Amino acid sequence: MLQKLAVNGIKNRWKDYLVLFSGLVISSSIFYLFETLSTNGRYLKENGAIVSMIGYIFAFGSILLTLITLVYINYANNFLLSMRQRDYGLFMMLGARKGKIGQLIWIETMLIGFLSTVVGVIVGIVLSTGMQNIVIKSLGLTARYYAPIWWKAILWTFILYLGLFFLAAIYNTFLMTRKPALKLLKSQQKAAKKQLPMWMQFIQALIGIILLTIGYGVIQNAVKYGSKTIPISLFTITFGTFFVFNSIVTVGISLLRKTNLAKKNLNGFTLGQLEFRVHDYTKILTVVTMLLALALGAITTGIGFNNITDKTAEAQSAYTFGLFQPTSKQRTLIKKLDIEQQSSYSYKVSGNAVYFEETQFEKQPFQTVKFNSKSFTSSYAKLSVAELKKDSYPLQKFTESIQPNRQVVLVDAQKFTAIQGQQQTALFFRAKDTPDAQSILSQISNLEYAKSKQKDRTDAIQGNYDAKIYVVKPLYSGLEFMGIFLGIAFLAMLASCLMFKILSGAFEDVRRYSMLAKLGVRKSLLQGAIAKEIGILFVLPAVVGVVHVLIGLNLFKGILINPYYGIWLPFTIFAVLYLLYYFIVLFMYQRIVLKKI
Amino acid sequence: MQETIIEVNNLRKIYGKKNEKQYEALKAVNFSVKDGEFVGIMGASGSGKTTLLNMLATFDKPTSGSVKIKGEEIAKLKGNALADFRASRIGFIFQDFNLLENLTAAENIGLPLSLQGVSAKRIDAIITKVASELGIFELLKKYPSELSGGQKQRVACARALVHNPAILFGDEPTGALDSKSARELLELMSEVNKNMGTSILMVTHDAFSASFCKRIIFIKDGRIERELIREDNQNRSNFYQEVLDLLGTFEQ
Repeated sequence: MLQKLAVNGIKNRWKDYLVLFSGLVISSSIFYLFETLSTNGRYLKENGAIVSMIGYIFAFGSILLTLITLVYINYANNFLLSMRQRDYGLFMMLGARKGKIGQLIWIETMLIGFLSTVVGVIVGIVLSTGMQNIVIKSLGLTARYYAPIWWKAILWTFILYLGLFFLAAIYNTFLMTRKPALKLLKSQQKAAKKQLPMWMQFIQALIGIILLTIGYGVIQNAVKYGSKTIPISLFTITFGTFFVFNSIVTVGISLLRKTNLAKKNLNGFTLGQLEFRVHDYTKILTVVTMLLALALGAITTGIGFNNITDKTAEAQSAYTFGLFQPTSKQRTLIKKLDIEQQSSYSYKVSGNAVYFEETQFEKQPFQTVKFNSKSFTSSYAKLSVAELKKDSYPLQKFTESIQPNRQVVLVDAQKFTAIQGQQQTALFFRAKDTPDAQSILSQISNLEYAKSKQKDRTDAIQGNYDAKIYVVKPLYSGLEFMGIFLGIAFLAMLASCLMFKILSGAFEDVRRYSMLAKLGVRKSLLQGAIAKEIGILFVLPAVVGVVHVLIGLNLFKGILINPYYGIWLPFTIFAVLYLLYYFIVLFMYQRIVLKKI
Repeated sequence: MQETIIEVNNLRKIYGKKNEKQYEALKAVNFSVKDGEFVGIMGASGSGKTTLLNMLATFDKPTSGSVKIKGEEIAKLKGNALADFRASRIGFIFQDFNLLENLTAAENIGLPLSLQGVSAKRIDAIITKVASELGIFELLKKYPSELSGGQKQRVACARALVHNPAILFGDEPTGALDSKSARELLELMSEVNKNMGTSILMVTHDAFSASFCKRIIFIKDGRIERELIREDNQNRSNFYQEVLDLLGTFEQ
């Protein structure tokens, strides 16, 4: 009978359970996503070769994600408890035995945990397969050895989630069987109010700021601290953020409450709401801040790797292609490109050398590239014949594919005519590397490779396009994939975290807002109060998170050269998504809270 | 001649949609309340007294008929006009207090004034004045969870009075209080009615509470059945006996 009642309780509140369940599924599926990268040692080794200690970084990422999951499940469990307390209190009133109640709540918690983990892993597998296909196809990346179905990730997800739910189930059983039935019945009416004394808050603020300073300092000097950088900064920044929120925000709100501003419209109510919830909120604010920093950081570095791919390729030589004896097909293809610079030279092959005529290089000088790492731009310099004669490597680089092991020699016109052999043409050009041009460039490249005497394609690099596709991209694209993959995963986790926390509070607010409406508060004012309250939850983590990212980007100085280059793009994308999400949550909240008003 | 505060004409309320089973909670109710009156509405559970109060307090809309408060037809009010009307003309004391637990007593009391854009300085002054009058000055800094039921209801009373409403409604205001607190609150309401001249309309099923009123309207099955007026020279315990006697015959 009691089981029937318990099941009925679930049926009646299926909407709330849907919120709970979907939140848990998202959380576990994202943990799974992360673990598919983190526990795949071969993938990390192959793709992250240029990032030293990449496995190490991921190990700490796992720890951070575990911490976040801990907070998340804690919220989920509280949500579950608040839903069920009244029901179980009622069962007790009806004479159910404590042992039976304990058994029921244990089974219920474990069942929800188990089901959401199973579904979460399945969703995780689907997501990782989809992400792999979409990210790889849309960005033209390769992620070797990445496997969407990875048993180690499945195992770890199950261990963590079932373990946490096991603890939650024990806690719930303990709580439910200890509390008197009356307390359970009236649990929704209590309103705890804890306010730390001022000096405690001051100490917390101080500790928070010191921790953040240490964390930021360590990141700035990552080279000095080496492998200790990640654990130190992760620890100090996470807890620093928490202490800062817990003290400064709390004090700020209570100070604001004392000003005249609090006596205007509903400001006093909103501040009261915030102060009441701030202890509850500081944890979620910290989690959201860290997730936001991770998501934005991952996407920014991911796009950073994309930028550096292009820039590194650009800095290989002054030319997109150097073609030898261009075929008519190649010539028609070139006409479709947007050419910035072009020069053509005659050459003859004789013995162990490739001969060029120097007057042609006086008329149309050969160019080299110089890369400015600060401004992230390439500039081109003209080489004089004397310079080229002294060091012919810039030109030799191009002849290696078709005339391997032959030296490049520049001779005057007389000698050139005297050399035996057929006169041939070499065409060098620099074209705009636009997305549209990719297929044309690829065709030209393949036609040129067909003439090559080299076996390995990486030995037949005929300019910047080949360098990009066959040398630079394989080096960075794994990391770019990682960055964008993790960015999206963290963003989804952030979204579900915020949504979950905010919506679980919405049910309590229905009563408060209907009370306000009865007092004669205009609907527009009520809507404004909600917008403000939720706005704070979005703005605070955004501000602190962005600061974390701006400082954290220093970690990538070594690999990305200038990690701040072009960060406006990921920041803007992120801001738009974040704002959009704010409006979605706001809309949902208003619909729940103001439904009857 | 005294001004009419509330005028109710042919008020009807039917629950349920047209094609469903309908229930007529109020059947053609007529009455009026004059300025400065202290009126009680009595009736058994399901008699329609709460329905009537909800309609008077603009929380519910009548099916037909009219309710005028200070000459204004409240059934026609909508949106902001309705909210503003509630905020400026009506004070309401609920059975379960309905204080906002995240605000202090002072903030709860000041809320209606904040909504009307009164300056912070004046709000403080008015709160102090009302709180002193109601004897809750020392409670102002406390949160509702730190107050007893009687104290909470006094705070709620202060909140309902702070903006000088045209009428104070009470929905079983003593329903959740012990007898001592209940008596104190009712005495307080009588004083407010006498000294401040605030008109009060209170719904109750408790004869003791009703005996504090000057006029009692009895409702049964959605209709006004009887009216009882306390004579000027009649003392309260005598009136109480009269109410009890009437109830004894009325409810059968």
